Amino acid sequence: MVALFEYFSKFLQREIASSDRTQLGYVYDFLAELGTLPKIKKVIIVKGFLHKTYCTIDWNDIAHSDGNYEVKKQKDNLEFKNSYNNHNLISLRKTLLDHQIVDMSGRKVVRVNDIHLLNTQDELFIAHMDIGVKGLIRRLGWDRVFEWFLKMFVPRSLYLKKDEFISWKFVQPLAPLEEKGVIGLTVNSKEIANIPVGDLSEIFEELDVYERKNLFKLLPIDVQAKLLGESESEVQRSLVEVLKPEQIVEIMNLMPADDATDMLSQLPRYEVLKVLPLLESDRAKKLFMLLAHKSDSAGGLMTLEYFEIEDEQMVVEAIEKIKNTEIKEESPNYAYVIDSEKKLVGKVTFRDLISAKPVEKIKNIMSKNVISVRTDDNAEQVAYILDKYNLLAIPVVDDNKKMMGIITIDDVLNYVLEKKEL
Amino acid sequence: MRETQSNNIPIVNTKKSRWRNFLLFLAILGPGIITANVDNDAGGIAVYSLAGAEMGYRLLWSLVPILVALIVIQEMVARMGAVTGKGLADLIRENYGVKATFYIMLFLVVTNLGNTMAEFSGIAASSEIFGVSRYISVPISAFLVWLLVIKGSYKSVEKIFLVACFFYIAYIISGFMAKPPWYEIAVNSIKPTFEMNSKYLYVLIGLVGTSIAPWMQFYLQASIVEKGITIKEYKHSRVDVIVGCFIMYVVAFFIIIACAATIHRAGVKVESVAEAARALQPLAGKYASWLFAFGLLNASIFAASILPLSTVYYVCEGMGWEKGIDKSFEEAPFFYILYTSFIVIGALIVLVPKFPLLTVMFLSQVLNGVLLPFILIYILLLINNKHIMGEYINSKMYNIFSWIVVFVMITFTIIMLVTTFV
Repeated sequence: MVALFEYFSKFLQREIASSDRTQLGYVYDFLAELGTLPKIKKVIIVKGFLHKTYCTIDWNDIAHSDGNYEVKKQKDNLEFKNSYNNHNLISLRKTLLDHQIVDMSGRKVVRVNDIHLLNTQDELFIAHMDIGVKGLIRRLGWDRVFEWFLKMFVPRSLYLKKDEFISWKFVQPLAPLEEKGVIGLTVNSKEIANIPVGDLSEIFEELDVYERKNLFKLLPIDVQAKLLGESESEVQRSLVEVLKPEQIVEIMNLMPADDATDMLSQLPRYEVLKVLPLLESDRAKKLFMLLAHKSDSAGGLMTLEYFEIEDEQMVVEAIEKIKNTEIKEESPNYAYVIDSEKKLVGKVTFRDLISAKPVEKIKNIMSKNVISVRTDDNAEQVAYILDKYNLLAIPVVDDNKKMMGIITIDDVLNYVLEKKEL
Repeated sequence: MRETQSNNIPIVNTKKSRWRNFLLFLAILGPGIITANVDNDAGGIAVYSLAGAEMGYRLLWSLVPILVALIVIQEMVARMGAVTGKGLADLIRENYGVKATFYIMLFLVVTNLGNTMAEFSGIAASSEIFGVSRYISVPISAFLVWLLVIKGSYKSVEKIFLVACFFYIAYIISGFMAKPPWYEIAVNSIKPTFEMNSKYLYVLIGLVGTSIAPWMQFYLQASIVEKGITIKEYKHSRVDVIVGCFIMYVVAFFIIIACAATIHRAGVKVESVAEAARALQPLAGKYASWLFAFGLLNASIFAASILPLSTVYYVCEGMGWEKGIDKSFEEAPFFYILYTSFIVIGALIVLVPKFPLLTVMFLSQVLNGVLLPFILIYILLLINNKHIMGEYINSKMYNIFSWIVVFVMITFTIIMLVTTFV
């Protein structure tokens, strides 16, 4: 009777013979068909020491009884070559074993120490990835000695009970499936879009440049946009490179203006010139203006999306205007009040608006003396003022007190955190 | 992000801009130059001083082949980092499995523990020149190094260390002021001589061993990867690597000259670290020993903050354990335990009274030498693997050349082992 579960590493040590009872070599790799439970389709056998040659054999051509494996063909019918290709299957050795994968349940990047295979009715399936210390020790060949030692001296050790497995449905491979360099779309690619953006951006930070780009391509566009907004500039720069101008535009339309500017500033100049004309002209103008500010000045940090109402408006009109303002990111619960010359004159909280009489003029209910910063103030000053007055956001004005944009506390926070890491 | 944007903005404030240019210059100082400067650590200074003091100018020629070998090896490693985006430990694991990785890592840990002890004894020696007991200076600096890294503020301090490396200019000036026989130096620096006596061989092997160390290959590749350098930007990196190697050459060259022109000329035997400071007397007069102590202290602390951390990094990378100072202890226990024990053991052993410090330091050099050929062979196998390197594998001529370099290095190691134990 064959064990229900077997480790890939245990297969790798096995000698395998042909039907005429001559030793062919050792099991080197398995090729599996992608699916909810990937089935092993082919076995690669290796022979030779300095000059290795490989032979690909169909799983159906392998006979197995009592854990012994034998190739059903004659030795002379088998062809050994210098390398083997994947036949559009997933190679356990080139893609999974010893490679990094994304563990989508634990939301982190891990390395595969061994592969847990399910053995049912003469067929093998990939079941789990072993990422624990136990797998490492098994691969080193010390598992029996180590377990014996623990049973003798530390019978309660966690090591004996605990396996660190990841079920296949939570596995996203990172190594390319084929020579073409593409990561496979496993059935799981939907799972990865469900990971919260914060965690996803941490995962992306741990990947190398190439894995990062490959994995990024697999994501749906709205996740791409959120991820870009969340990423650090270095990561962002490498990700933006894989996008075509049209894709960049599509993503930028999904982003708040300040994130979009950040992204734009990661692009080489000629790319920017390609992208800007493709944007809606209104938005392009705004972004261009933002780009002209230094990124560590208030002008560079600000977003153009905020609630703006006029001092001569009635409360009911103002509420209507706020309802119709389209804003792509979380904004503080106040609206800024400007006069006819677009100068900043006050602010009202939403609470003020709701509790005021609908026909009241805004200028009668607004609080004057709004604290603001100027476009050329630097980020440290902005952070200092936000902190000093306990504000969630602060308006940015130019030399004539004209309202330009607002800076929210999380934008400053991002900047300060990023600077700290430099 | 800041660099790209600041290019678009005319800089008004000249005082600020000069400072900014200086910062930019420091930012460009790349992985190659940093690696070279860490290479000139306590062990490096000791060996170069010894070479000049004991052998005069006779070993100057050996620096040329060392320089060539260093450039060849470092170039391959840097290229590998840029093409694959992966560290060396990572590549070895993915292509040669757990066993190879584990034993290489085990060796690397032992050797680098030896190297770390050498750095701490450098700290002990230099602080004693200032009249501070090692029982005070070593624990304090060990704790500072540990804190610096754990708190994540290492990156901001790195540049200070680098600037302090300008201390080596003292050797250049001192070398000139000692009015050495330039003609003799010129001849000796290109014309190979060979003496078959154990002392000559001993110092020669020391020179090779200290200049080309296993950890450097891991460190350089990891820094290339960390900087996110891809094959597109690789041209600049190659310049950086070559410049780094030349810096190492110039520093070694002038330390040897300065020591030869002062200590060797005077016929003094160097028996303690303090005596090596005489080489700086033409420049600094009676303050020579202070200048020397300052330089040695900086070099030792610089290397002591890089070596343990980077070693633990590769080990975790290869074994697939969570790593990085941005992780908590619960997330990355192996990382923190290994790192802390590295520092604690390294510092404690230096404090054991009558501990055979020189023997241990020498043994760590031997281990360095034993490990190096294996690393070099793996590097050559990996860099010629088309699946990994694609079109960027070595050219035929480059391969012949680099195999010769590796072969010479292996021969050297064998000679060293034979002369040590026979």
